[in-house]
Amino acid sequence: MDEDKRIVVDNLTSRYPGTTQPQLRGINAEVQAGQVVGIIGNSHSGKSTLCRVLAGVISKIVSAEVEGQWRLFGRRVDDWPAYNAMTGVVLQNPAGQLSGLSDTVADEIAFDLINQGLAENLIQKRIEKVAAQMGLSAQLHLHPESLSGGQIQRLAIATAIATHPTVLILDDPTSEMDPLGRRQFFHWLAGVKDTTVLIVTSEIDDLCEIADSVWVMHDGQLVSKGTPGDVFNHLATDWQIPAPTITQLAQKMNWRMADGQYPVNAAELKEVRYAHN
Amino acid sequence: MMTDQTLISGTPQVKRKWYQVIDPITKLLFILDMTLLSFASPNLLLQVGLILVATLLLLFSKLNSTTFKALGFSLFLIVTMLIIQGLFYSHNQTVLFSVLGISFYKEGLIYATMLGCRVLVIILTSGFFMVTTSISENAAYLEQSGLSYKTVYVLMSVCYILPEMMRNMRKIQQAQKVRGTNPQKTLIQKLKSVLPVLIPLVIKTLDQSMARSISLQLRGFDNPNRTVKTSQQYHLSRMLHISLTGLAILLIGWKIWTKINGL
Amino acid sequence: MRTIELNHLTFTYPGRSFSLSIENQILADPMVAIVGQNGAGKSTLFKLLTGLLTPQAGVIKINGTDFNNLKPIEKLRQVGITFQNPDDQLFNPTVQREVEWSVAQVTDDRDKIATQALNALVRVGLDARIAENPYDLSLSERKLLSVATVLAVDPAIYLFDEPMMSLDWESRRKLTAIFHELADSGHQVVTITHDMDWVAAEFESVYVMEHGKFGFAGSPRELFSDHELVDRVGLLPPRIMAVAELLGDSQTYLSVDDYWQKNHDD
Repeated sequence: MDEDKRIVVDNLTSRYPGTTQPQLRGINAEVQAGQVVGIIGNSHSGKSTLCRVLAGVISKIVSAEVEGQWRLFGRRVDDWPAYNAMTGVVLQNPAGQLSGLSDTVADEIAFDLINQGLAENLIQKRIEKVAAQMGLSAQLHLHPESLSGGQIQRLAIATAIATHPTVLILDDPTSEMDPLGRRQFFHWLAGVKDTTVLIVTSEIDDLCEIADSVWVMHDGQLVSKGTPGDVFNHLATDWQIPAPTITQLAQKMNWRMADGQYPVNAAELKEVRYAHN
Repeated sequence: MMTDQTLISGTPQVKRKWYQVIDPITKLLFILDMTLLSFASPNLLLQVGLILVATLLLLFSKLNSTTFKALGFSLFLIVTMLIIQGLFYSHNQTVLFSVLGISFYKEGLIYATMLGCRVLVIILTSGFFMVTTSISENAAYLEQSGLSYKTVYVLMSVCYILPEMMRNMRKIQQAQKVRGTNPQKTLIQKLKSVLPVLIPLVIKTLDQSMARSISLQLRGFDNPNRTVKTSQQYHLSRMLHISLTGLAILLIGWKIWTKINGL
Repeated sequence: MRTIELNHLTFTYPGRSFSLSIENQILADPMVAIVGQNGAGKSTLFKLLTGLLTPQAGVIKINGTDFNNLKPIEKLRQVGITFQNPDDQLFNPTVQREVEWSVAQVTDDRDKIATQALNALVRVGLDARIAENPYDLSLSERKLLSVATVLAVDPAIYLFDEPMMSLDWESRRKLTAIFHELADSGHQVVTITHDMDWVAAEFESVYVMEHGKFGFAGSPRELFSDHELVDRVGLLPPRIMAVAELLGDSQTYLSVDDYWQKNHDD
């Protein structure tokens, strides 16, 4: 059962009611288990809609026209409780994801674990673990609403990873973090094993250090996909997406790798500089 | 705001305050009993006694500015009531005193005092309930008493919408203050600035509720396999429920009995 | 020339330990970046500069006049602010009315209100969306809309709190261009930001706030050359410096072009 080890998106098209143009047009893609996929694009490119479809928000919770198929490790969205239990999701506007029923950050993280029916002693351990991972250990007893924007984002991520999901779907999870918080987040993400991650972000430098593959969205279409190297060496100007700093520098200095491509991350840059000298 | 007790562990981690070991239903029954007692007799001394009890409970739990504001508002209402009834109560006969040629009547003042006392008893005891139980405690307790979490959430989100709207309103007022020239000092000015934004305000709040509901569903809040939490340890809740319910029945019964016999 | 002058300014929140205290500081450059950690006092300073907070002591002079003595309408003509979160700034049912609301605060002239609002929307590229509800716009677009509400009033001094945060690349370019247009046309742009790549590439004047005080004032090159300071106030140097570091080069670089200028052999 090959399909059980992949995320498969097959000719996916989606349109919100009352709009003329579809938000997603004929998306085809595949992700192997354990990979990190970065999704990039400007506003209205369809990246958030894609996240919402894969998370099951469309059309399990919000209605929209959806054509085509997609499966997470062989599972379809119609099998909702099981599908939902497989995913950990952070959508835009993390403050809107707080339950509003928790007095403390610890309660907020516990919410997902209680919903999944975990034993109480396990719940306590998980809370401590994810709080440490997201740098919230000192905030566990605070009221969620007293947190800063960046901390609320880390809390939203903590609630998503607490249940050990198979697939993590993150829509711009660092938008409100300061640079140090963002660096810590990507450092954490680099160490994530056994979880398949789909992350929408505009932090392309950080993304190129950790992503196995990058998808470029433009006008509802998946216009480019491949390794970070392949994608950032072949950007079209009308996508209005910049290359990583390392690539920009290499282009300016004409530092090419053996295959003629410009480096996109630290490892490739070192490779090219040692070969160059 | 910190709580001594987390949702996830039933055993107290920190010593709980006395009012936290009383369960929400006991507190609600207590409001009912105090109200019934207050209506049971027109004895002013009894009313003063009830007000004293309720005030002491509030004083020994925790006071916040909202409680004071609510109290201030109800006192304002009671004073208005005293004046109106003192002047215009239909059974007014005996003039008690006159101010600037306007006569205040004894009957009306007594009637208004009685009514005011009853309002105060209800407000003080309800205030005690409000300041000593959090939304999450109520939610957890309702769930323990057998309601599905979905039902609990719907009930709780009703409590949630008004504060959310007030928060949004404060943000809008702040934005108007920075972007605008109108200092909005009088009530009329405030109203004028609020009216045009009412629709966006409602839309924004509904939008937020929608987002919250989506994320709760994603977070699996209606999963039938939810962990059954260890019950909060409440003191004597069964005994308190029975005796308070008994008292309520007695008071109602007595009231009916006296009505029937025309006493 | 536009200036902000701060004299013996002090502000303390009741019941909190934080206090802002600025002896004498003049912000006179056309484009000024204010950087520093969360809680250093950047937002408090902005609230003082817009009159949302009143200092306990000291004077804020905007272009030479005491700000707190100005009439409300004059304050709006002198200083306009764009918040970090556009949702804290928007409250009207349509894009057009959102911007017109701002202009209506400074003039009663219907034609003027309509044209100034439309011009501002054209500048940020939202003129095709005037009938839409602001909440139907994307986050980047809402942010541009909140900028348009200030552009339409055209104050002498523009304050921006984290303007680049959560913007897509298209909007970043658009907004950076607007910043330069404003600076070139005699306005002053003062911005709070965490984005050091942007500061290094676009600004000539940076101020560092630390514990409610100004700790540094100078050019980005001076700032990023002071490694001890950069570390202490928790700033991440521009990415190009981290890239150079990978190649064993710890010099100060502000951009890819800057690196190229210094390192290409011709």
